[in-house]
Amino acid sequence: MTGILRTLVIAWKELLQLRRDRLTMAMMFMLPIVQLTLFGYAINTDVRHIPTVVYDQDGSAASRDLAHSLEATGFYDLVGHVSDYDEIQRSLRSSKARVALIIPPNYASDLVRGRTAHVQLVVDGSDPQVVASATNTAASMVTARSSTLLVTKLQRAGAGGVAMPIELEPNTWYNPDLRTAVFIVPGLVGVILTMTMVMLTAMALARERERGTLEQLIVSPVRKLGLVIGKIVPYVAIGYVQMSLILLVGWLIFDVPIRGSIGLLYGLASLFIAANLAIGLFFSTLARTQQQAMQMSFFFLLPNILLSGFMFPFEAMPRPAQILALGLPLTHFLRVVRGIVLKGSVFADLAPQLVAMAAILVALVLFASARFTKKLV
Amino acid sequence: MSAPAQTTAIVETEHLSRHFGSLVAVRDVSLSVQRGEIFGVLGPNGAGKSTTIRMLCGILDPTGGRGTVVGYDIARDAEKIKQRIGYMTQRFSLYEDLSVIENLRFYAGIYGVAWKKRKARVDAVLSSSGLEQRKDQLAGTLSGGWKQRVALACATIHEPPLLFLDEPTAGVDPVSRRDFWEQIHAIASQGTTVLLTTHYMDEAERCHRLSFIFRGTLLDVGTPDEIVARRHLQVAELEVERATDAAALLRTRPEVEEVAHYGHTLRVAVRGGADPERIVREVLEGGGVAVDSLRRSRVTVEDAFVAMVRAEAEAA
Ligand SMILES: Nc1ncnc2c1ncn2[C@@H]1O[C@H](COP(=O)(O)OP(=O)(O)OP(=O)(O)O)[C@@H](O)[C@H]1O
Ligand SMILES: [Mg+2]
Repeated sequence: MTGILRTLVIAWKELLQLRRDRLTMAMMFMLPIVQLTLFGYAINTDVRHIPTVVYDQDGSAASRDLAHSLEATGFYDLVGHVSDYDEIQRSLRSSKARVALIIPPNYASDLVRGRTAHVQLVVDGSDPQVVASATNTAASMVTARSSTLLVTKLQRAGAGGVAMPIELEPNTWYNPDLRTAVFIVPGLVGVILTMTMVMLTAMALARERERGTLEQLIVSPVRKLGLVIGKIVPYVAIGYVQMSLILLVGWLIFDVPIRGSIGLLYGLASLFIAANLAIGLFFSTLARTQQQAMQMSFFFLLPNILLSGFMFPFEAMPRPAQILALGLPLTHFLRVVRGIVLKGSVFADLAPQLVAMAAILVALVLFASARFTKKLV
Repeated sequence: MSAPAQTTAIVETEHLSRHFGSLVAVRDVSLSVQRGEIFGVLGPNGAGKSTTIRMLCGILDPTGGRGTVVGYDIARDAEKIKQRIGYMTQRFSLYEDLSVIENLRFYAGIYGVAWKKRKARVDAVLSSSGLEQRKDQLAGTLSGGWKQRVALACATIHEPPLLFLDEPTAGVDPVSRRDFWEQIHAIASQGTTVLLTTHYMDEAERCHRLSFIFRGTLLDVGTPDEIVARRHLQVAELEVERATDAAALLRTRPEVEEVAHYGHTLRVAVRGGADPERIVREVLEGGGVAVDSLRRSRVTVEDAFVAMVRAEAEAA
């Protein structure tokens, strides 16, 4: 009983201090909003409207038709016509265009005579993301066109019952318009929680150490567990507020729906938040000053952003990076939050993540509490 | 040196030691502090005073020896000790962004002062330290003397039978120090034991008993008078025209322990029970320096302290 009271006394003190620390408070609530806006608007992996020049050596109706259907895909913006290879080079170098379509002379007559027409697509490779999108789109457009031409030709030649042998109908679920924001916003919940939870806990204890008040705390009869819980409980509350803020703003501004159960999300988030607090606690046992605590937290953030699947797909990473990533709570929480928010996943879908996060949490708590003692040095 | 185990001892150590890597911060310290006394720990910077106190408070494990505080072993029962002591750290570690009363309530809370008694206790320490007017001021905006009062109030909020104060008067003006010492004596008169460290020799003389620590080793323990007597020093004060020359001459004599300037006055301490007035006359008349006035003076703890540190430094 006195133990619980003491824990509450510490939590209350922490809140009093937080209330007077306007800067930190402002940071904690501004950070999610600023990050959300930055990531939501600036990071846009949809490649569209690539400036394109056309070098039409044929000048026929058929060649003009090809150029137009390329533009009709929405991926290419025709920004001009050029009349030789030098001009193509100048356009790419000056970034006036990133793609050039070269239609050979005799394009129309080759089609009529049944010869293969060699259409060339020159792509600026300095941005790999553009290359992939540009070539894929053009290739599938041209393939579709060729097949149609072949089928028509066969039918005209009298082959009855000729149809396209195979046709793929792609059907994207959960984010049919492939909007980046829909993908980024739930991920941002995890990234921002990692950042603030780890940093705040590490800083909160490092501050006491730096100012000498930790010595006064550990000389008191407060239990170790009570001390730690009292120190971090206020930050758990802040974590939930941040999470709600991101989801709310994501819904209002970026139209990100929440398809699954909010209760399930908040429940599973508790494991994730607790794991990050344990990491912060561990950092605080290593850091002598607030600055060191801050540096460690930033250092920890980097692998989280790169490896967790927030920016790059987990499946595309090499094996060692994947193994490392599985040790990060964020990797599992991202699957939880994206699953619930975007796909409406239910508890049974997320059981593996629950187990993984619980295991990481237990390991971290054991590790951090072995390091954190009521002793100096 | 220390008395055999008595039931009245509230702090007792035997060969207490603490190493930090290859550095020996505290070496073989054996001492006992009696219930109700004001026990001073003196020693130069880095002597190991704070390290000793931290071990006694149970927040630093000894690397050798043993100790009991309020009847509990410092290595095994540190948490039981923590219920029964108050500790004021070397720099007054208050929460600077909390007000005076918030600091007091916080410490009352974590020391488990009963909810019903809390308000009465907070009011009591506020009034005994004269802090009522400033109770809503942020601790960080107080001056040094006031911070010290708040720190003492926090350390005594739960009425501990034993109080550790690590350099409680560092950086505090003489009037505040005097008030502070009156408060310490008031606390002790109610039966609380006080163990404190200080660098001020006038404060050392206000303690019931003293101990000297030098480079981690305990050199002497006793009442101020006992400690002074054991040094066998005699002191004279004189006024001369050419004080610097006179001091240089006096220092050539092997019996002279120490010559110190106080304004126009020179203070001369001699060893081994020699007569300081005779030595001063001999030396200065021989050197042709006229002595304006010469008188015997009381030997202070400071004289004893300097003599002890000098002797140890020379021996090392
Ligand atoms: N945590 C630590 N790690 C390493 N060395 C330490 C540690 N704490 C103290 N020391 C060393 O132990 C020695 C004794 O230090 P201590 O603080 O006990 O001295 P002190 O007598 O309190 O000095 P002061 O009068 O300056 O406060 C010093 O040399 C100090 O550098
Ligand atoms: Mg000290």
